[in-house]
Amino acid sequence: MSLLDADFMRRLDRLRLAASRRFAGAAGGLRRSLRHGASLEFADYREYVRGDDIRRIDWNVFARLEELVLRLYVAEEDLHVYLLVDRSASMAFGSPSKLDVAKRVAAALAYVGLSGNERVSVLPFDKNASRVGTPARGKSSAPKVFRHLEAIEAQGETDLRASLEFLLRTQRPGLVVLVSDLFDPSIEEENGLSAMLDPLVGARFEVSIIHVLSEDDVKPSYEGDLLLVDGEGQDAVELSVDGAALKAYQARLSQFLRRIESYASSRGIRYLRLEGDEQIEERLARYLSHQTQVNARGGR
Amino acid sequence: MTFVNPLALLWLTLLIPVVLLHMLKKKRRELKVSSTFLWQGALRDVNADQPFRRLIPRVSLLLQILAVIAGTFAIAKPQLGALSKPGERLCVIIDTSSSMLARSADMTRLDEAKAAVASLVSGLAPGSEVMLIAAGETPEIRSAFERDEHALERALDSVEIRGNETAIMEAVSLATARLEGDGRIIVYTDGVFEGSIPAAGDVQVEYRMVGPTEANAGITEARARRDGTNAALFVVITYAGSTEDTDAFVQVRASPGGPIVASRRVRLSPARDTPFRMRVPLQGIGANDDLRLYVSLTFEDNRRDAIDEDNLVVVAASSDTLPVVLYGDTNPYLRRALQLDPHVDLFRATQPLSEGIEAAVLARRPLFIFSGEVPAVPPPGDSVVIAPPEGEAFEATIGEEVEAPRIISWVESDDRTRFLRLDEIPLGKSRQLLGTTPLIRGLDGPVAGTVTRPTGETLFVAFDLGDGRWPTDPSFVVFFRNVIERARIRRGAGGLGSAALGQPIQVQVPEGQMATVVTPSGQRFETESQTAQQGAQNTLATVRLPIPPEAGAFVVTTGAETLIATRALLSRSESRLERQNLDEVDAEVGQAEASPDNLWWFFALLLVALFVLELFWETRKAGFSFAPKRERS
Repeated sequence: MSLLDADFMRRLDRLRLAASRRFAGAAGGLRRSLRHGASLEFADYREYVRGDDIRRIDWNVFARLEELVLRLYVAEEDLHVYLLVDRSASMAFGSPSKLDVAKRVAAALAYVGLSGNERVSVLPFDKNASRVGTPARGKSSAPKVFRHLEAIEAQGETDLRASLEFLLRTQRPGLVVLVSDLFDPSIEEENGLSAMLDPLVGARFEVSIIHVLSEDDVKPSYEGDLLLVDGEGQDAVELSVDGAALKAYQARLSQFLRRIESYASSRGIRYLRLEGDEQIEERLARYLSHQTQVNARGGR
Repeated sequence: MTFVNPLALLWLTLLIPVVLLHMLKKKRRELKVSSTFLWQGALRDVNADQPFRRLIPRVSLLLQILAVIAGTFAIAKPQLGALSKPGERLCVIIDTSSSMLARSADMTRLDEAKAAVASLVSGLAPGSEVMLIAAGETPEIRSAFERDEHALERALDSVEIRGNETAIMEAVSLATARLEGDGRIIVYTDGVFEGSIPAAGDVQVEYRMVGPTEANAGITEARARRDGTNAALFVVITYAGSTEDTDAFVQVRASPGGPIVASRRVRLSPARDTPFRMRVPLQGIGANDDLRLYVSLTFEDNRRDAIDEDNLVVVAASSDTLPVVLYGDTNPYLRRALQLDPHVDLFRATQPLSEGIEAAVLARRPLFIFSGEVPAVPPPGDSVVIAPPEGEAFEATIGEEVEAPRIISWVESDDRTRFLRLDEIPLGKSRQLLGTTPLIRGLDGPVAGTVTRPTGETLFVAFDLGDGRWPTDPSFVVFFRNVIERARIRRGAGGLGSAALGQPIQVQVPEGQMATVVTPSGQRFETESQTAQQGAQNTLATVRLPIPPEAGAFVVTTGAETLIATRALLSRSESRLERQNLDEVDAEVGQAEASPDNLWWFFALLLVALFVLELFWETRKAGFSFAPKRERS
């Protein structure tokens, strides 16, 4: 497997995807479900009605109160993880390309998810989201997911809103990990991010953002009289890149990043930014490890 | 800063296409980036911060603009502190007195002044007019108002030292009159001149000083008197120190034209002039022989002497007595005056000339005085004709009788009228005098005049000395004593007398013949006589021989006759090089600027530097960076 090396996968084996809220899963899993189920964890009492499983009647209560009361237990179900991988043309830039970084990130997350017996779906998106295929489950599905990721190629324009709306329409709530450079002009608009992500959050999706940027995105190394052509379309900017222009770009970038961070913070969205070819595995491992610890403290 | 060629500033219009090319579509390097939406925002921010950003020169544009400006300035020939304004009228006066011969390094002050004027002329804006005046003993217009630079340069080349005085006042007056209130005067001078300094009046006078202060010693006066076998030589030397105020020693040597026969070591003080007397033995030279003594001085300690020309004087050491031969009925007052003169050997003779006169007397080149009739051919040497009859007399024409002419003027600068006032003298009868150079003028024309020939000169006195009261006036004796002294000096000097440095030699030569002059340094000049003397009845023509400002004896040959003319710088003020304090004058005073147009090369170098910088900038932008290149998508 070229996306993840063996050492990194061993580190990932010890980690689990952290979800701060409970989801109603489609199959039994290792996570608490919104539904009351057959686990050992007590949830609540309710009156017995005909048809209920008499094995769950609390006979001690009946002895004291002479009422048939049913013990309810927390159901443990699987977590549906949606890995939204930006495959727009802008992701082809950088060294290594942002798409390569996004694939490795998605592979790592998928591996952790599959290791935790979660249902993992990979959704590459550009202007349109691709059809969501059958979710993978179980560690044995990892090679299949990896092949799917490797096959992704950069193309088309970014339309984050359309892709998220598609997800919202078609899928059950779960953990959504958005891996993208977020170079979508609509983010610059007033409440652009809110318009895109708030519906997901409102629909009880738990959203995480992994923001992938190249070194040239952060610190452009070019200067002079340039015709900057947009990697995703025909837009072009005539610009004399000098100190003043670079300073203005940095200011714009900072503003852009602050807006995303601020929004993520306000919505409780986990946000991780990866810049250039910094040690992605290390940062990702730290991130997942931290989330796992948080999850452990919060109780499962 | 002004420009020699201001029209070249039109090249600055090149800035328009340069700026336009930068503003208009520019060939830009195409570069694909992840996204441009952040750059679009950045561009809006930059343009919002700097509304005129497109016009603000970036490095490349700035360098190109500067290169165009530098190139234009180089072509326009800028001058720092230019002396002229566009299209103005200038009258340039150059001091051509002897002090301008003072040398500093290899240049004389005159050379320096001429170089400064040449720079000024070459730096003039089109339309400027320049008049050139040489201020020697008299002001001479060397070029009328002229716009042609080459014509002015030729006129400038012809400027030479003329005389031992500077007629600055006269030159400025002349220039002022010619300017007619439109223009200004620039005087190039070393400040060594006597008299008052012309200040700014109707026109602006600007003094440009030339030449540093230099030490100089020079002979300011030298006279010789012969006494048998010796000559008593009286010499005055002046010495002006520059930075050193110490005494100096000079060797003064005297020579009759060959070996040095006398020398003396003289101590000079910069504070005062040093007069002394020395005796010169004259072995082998007869008492009646003409003699010229060459007196020279040199510093003992190889000290630098600013002017060489005042170190040599040729002194005529005439014989003790002058033979004077009287013809005709000479006025008794005149005869008595001559008899009483101890330095006159008086002879009486009758015509023809040789009648009754010893050949030895004629060989001594006597002064002939004719009263009444004159011979057909003038005698060799100088002569005086008194009250000639009507008709032709030598080269002059004697006209009708004039009753009691009143003297109205006389040539004061002539040595024969020294110490005289003649306006109160009543004359009896006189005759009209034609074809002479007037010396004394009456109301109806000259009453005394001179005719000059190669072999001598004749003074015509057109009135009878006895027909009036002049012989009883003291001026009568003084006048004839002056005439005798002039004849003595002319005889001793070889016939043409002495004059100031650079003064042209004038001789009379038969028409079509050549007059040749050989200078003390051996240069040879020839001039052919062409113009007949006005009013003269013979075929002699006056020839003016320009000579270089050398001190010494000039040998003039006209046909078979050989004459000597001497030139010397005998001027205390000129030799002392004492400058006038021009700062006190109400005029602009400054140093002559040798090269006011020397800025063009600076702008040319700047142009090249900017071009190299622009080249470096462009190539560096194209990726000639030494830093390792980063890969880009």
